[in-house]
Amino acid sequence: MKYHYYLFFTLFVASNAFAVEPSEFLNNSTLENRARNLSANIRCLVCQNENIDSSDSEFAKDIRLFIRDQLVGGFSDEEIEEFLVSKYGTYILFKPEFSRYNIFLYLFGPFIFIFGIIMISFLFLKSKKGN
Amino acid sequence: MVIELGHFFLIAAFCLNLGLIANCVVHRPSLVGFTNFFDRLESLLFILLAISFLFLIVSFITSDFSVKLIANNSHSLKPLLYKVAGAWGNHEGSMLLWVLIMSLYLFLFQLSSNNYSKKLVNNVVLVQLSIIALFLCYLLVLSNPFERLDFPPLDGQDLNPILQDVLLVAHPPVLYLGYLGLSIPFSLALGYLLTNDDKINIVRLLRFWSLVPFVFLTLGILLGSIWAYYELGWGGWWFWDPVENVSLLPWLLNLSLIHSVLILERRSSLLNWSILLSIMGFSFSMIGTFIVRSGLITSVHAFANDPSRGLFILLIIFLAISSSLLIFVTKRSNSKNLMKLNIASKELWILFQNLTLLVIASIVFLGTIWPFIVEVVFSEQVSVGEPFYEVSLTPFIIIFAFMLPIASKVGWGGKKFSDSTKILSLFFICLALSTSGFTWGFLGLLTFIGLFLSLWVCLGSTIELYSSFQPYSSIFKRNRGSLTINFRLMGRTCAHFGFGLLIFGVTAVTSWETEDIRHVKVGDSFFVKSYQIVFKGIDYSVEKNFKRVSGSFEVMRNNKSIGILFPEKRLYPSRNEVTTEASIKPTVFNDFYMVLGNKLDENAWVVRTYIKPFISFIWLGVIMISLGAGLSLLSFTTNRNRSRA
Repeated sequence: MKYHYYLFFTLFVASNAFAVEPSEFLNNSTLENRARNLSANIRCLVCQNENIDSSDSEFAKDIRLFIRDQLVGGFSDEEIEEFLVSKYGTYILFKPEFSRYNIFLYLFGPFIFIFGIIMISFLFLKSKKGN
Repeated sequence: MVIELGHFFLIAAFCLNLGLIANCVVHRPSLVGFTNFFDRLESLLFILLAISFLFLIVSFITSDFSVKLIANNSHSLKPLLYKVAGAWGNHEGSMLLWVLIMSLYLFLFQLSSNNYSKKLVNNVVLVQLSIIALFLCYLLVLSNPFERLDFPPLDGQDLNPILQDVLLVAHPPVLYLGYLGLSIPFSLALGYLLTNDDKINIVRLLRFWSLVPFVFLTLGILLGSIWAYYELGWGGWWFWDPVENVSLLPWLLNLSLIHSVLILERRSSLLNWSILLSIMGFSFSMIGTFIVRSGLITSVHAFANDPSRGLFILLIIFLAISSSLLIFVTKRSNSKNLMKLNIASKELWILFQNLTLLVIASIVFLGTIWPFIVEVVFSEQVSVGEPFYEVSLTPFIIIFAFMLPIASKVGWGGKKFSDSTKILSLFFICLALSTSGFTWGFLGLLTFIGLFLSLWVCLGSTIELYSSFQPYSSIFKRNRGSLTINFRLMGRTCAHFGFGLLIFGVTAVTSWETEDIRHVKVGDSFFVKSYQIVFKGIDYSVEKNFKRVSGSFEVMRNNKSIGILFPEKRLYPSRNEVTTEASIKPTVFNDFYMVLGNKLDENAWVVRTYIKPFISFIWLGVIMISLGAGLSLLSFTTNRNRSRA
């Protein structure tokens, strides 16, 4: 797959960067907390399946620093996510946006649940009639 | 030479397998009691495959790098244990193990099948043999572990260093014992559909063979989870990674099967449903393997994948699943055996339980394949990760846990809640206890719900066990004058209690975890909560196949030492890979978890410290769930006489 070459890339870069570090932290603890919460939802694009906080790649480090810059600049969480999506695509968010085809993903479970409840109540009523 | 012998035994096993299939097909059911020569040969199939696998292991131990598999996955300096484990730490070897375990289950099934209808057993064996044949064929043609190299290298490429770990030696075999144990309910279901014979015993067989894989599947997932916890370096124990998800799917279906079989046993209804669950359970085992092996879906630990063979595996799975569903659709029983469903009947609550498990499984499944669907249909890329699963699964897990003690308490065919006061008072006690927890600091509604549910489930099952000490349904039952232990009750309450502990552990870790990331100089000390941590020094050393930097940190409280941690970083020169090895000091209620990060200057390092409260409850809970299934299995030793009579 096409990510294999990314993996290759990270193997050699890995030793230069590391997961989220104290030197990156903001002094303002509210902003820092927001940064950490945002990071949990942002995928490191050059890794296999990690968020940017736990990733050791340079890419993740850049995004971590970018998020903090934006937060200090006064942008909201949504604005920062929107910016990242416009630049890197929806692939960067671990939680797909609740829009367009993703609605199906979100509603599939509840749909099955409701369908099942209807089926069970149907059985229930039928057994009552049988009595 | 050894490797050629291994290859020879594999081919011999395939030939024998074909012969056995032919024998099953021509086996005349009218010849009941006629002991055919071939009846004994299923054990030989297992032995042939075991010898073949043994030869592969021997070649790994002797580091025969003229074998392609060994050259790619082993190294002469690797410790002996990991040389052995190398045999299944890769695609071809693990597929051989897959077939081996499948034949082991066939052998075990044969051993225990003397009391059942010959016609049924014959068909079950036939189904099982056919699947083994498909995978053996795949192994021999496309993924031969015994392939030689024309120009053997001087040394091997080594096993991925993060796989060189004691737990990961055990993880694949145990997990496979679970995955492939599900092949027996699958074969039973199809064998039964094909013959419609021995309806009384099929229930008993399904119950037994759905519990066996559950024990191993649960343990296998646990081993992987504990490994991820200490090896991947940030203390997570579940990442909602595709590979983890696909192991969860058969587990969830297996769990529903175990419970739906209970209805089948009592009310002889839901036969079709149980059969469908049996078919789906193993189907998802195979789909899981396909997803892991094919590289179709990217994953953080796709260690043994190879996209080129994906198509063939897909074909096998498609063939197996579509034909079994076809058999199901055409042969399923049409008997309308209506259940009596009442609000307070166990039947209804188990149905609800099955439904919630199915909903959870379908969310996990869709979430896992969603990136693939979107890429194919909309040519776009999306990620589905932890935050998605948290949002969409939590409500259903809450519903599931809330129903558990009620479902466990109500009686079969009950019309009214006979114990409604008991249930209500338990509800309010749990509510009061978890509300009182507010006094020592909560983080939110979910913490509260989690705490309530864990109390609700744990106390519920404790009370259930306790109240059964009454004379009528005692834990010790009188059976023909001799005392026997009610293993089913013990197993059930043990597993349910374990689930409660699991909820508590998860709630505690997600709510009350402490994280501390900082620069520390050698000799300095710092505080995390009320614990003082002293950075005592840095040590460099060279091991057989890696180089190591390790820090030593002493954790103290009130000037009393709790323990010393040695987090380390390793460089594996054979692959030029750096790994971090977290160091963990478990105490009764907390785990101290430390990771050594980058070196900043001469003696300052980045150090990450986590205090993880009650994480051991997660492991303990899962062990109890597995143990519960094991205890229920023991019931088969005590009530054999009764059911035969």
